[in-house]
Amino acid sequence: MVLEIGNRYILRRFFSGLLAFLLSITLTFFLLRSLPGDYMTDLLLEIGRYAPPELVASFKHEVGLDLPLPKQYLLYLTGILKGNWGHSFEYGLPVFSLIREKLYWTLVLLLPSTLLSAGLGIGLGACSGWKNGSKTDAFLLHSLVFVGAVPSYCWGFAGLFIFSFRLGLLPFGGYVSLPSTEPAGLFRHALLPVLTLTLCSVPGIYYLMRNSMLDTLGEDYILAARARGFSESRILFQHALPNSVLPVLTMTSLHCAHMLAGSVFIETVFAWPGLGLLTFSALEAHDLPLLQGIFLVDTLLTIIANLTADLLYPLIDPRIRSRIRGE
Amino acid sequence: MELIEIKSLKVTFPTEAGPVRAVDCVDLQLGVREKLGLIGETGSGKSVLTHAILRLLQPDALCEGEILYQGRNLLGLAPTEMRRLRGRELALIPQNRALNPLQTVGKQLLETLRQAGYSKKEAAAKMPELLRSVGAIDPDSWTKAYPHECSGGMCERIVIALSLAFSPSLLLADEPTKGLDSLNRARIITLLGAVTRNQALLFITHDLEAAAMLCTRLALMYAGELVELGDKDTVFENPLHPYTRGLLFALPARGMQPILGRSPPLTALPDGCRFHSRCPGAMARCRRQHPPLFDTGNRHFCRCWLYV
Ligand code: SF4
Repeated sequence: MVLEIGNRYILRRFFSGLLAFLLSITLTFFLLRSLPGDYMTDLLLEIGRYAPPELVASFKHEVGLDLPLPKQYLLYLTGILKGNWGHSFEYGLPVFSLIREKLYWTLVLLLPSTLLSAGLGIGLGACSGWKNGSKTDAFLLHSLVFVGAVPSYCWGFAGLFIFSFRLGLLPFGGYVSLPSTEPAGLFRHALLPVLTLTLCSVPGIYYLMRNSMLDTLGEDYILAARARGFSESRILFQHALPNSVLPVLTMTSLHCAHMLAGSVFIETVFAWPGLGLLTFSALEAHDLPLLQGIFLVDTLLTIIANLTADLLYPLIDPRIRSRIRGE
Repeated sequence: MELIEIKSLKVTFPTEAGPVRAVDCVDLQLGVREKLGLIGETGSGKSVLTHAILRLLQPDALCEGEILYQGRNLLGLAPTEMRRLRGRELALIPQNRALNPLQTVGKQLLETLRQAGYSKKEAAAKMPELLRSVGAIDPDSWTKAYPHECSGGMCERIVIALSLAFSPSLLLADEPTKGLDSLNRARIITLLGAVTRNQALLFITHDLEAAAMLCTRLALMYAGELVELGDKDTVFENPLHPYTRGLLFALPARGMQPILGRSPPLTALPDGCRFHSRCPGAMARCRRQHPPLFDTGNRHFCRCWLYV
């Protein structure tokens, strides 16, 4: 049914996604090139030496940074199209394979925490809104305001302090040194970072869900359902919940993309061998090709998250189906 | 015996500015199969009164007095008992578009018929019949539609069908013609008259003409109080309260002269008669003393010092 109504819709969404993608990589390309400092100077500064200008120049020549900007840009674009994302200055490896490996580890944190925070945020928000004005509502609201007010890395440190340092239950991060897929070890290492990431994104989803539930409960069809003598659980699950979850959908998908950026802190705190840690070190080292690649992946994931929400909407909301049909 | 008897009902809401009384000492009776029009502007308390009968007000609203339904005080019933009466005995026809936007009309009808006690099979068989009774020519196309695909008039018919899925003895219609054009308004009123032949109807509206077409008795509310109550013909031929007269003169057929001013906010009610700031015949006494509801004979009541 969606296919029958939505080919043009899907195509249009796809093209606007592509446009956003092009715009974003262009922007990052030029912004990165306007950063002060460069790789070679920084590298030698680290060992306490000033880089001789000839050396900097020859390095720039070698990696093509001495070409005029438009030419560099064109080379970059054609490279991406051909699947050649360049080589990292720092690691000397192809950017694409570097990122692919690190992305895997980031997703190991990101997927469970997205699911957890969406579930918790929607569940708690719905409960709070449904029982608006009750003690449960007040308790949830206050706790989540508190949780949301504390920066993510603080939660990370607090978790490490309590569970690893005081109780000795969990390892102090450091998974970076032994990435393996052995499940028990992976679980023990991933637990704290996943929980921390979750803790950071639950409040946003919670507020939105609570408000949305309050709005929905004020609708005439909820009053009408009550006037028909329906049980409270029927009203909640058949009428209030599906309607109030709709606006939260977009937010959750955006949140997921947002968490990718947030994971820089978390991965640094927990020494997790993911994209966040890679970003941090690439920024420090002025590793332009690697940074370009990372931002490209960030953009891509954000756009995919958006696209997923856009494509899910018509499946759930008949009003949007009609609008698409009318377009 | 009266079907429903409201005895000195007071509804108070707590607000930040202190308690606000939205309905003040209302006494009203409704006989079996009687049609009563409850008329008032927004904020006069007519909707609050309806929701109080169904006990659908926000939980912190305070209801005092009695609402006797077949001799039982609704205000004293346990929530589960009240829930059993809703729909089955006391049905609400809400303002239009009171349909869940995510479900088809058919799904919502089915759910309601199942609630009314029909089996799945019976409900499916009853659905087209029910839709025909509210004027659907092609019920199948109606059941497949989503609410946003229906016109205002169609939505209102569906909402009426939903209330008729049970066979309630009292229908409370809360401004069912709001937002409809004049043609659809007339159609919905005719339909309501036809489907409530065997039921009592409390018709809440700000539309005097609509109430006159449908009802045998009229009650007028102003700032939370009943100000006039009487048989429709008596009220139309011999309106007593200056507010009622004002409303009648505001009708297109009678000169279209609106009442000047606006009703006082419930948070700052004036002393004396609540209508005095807008009343052309206000006397010194009206500003000081609050008038009671006077019985002027002939089942006609009026809250005004002119009828002492
Ligand atoms: S009591 Fe006085 S002010 Fe009030 S309606 Fe009657 S005449 Fe007017």
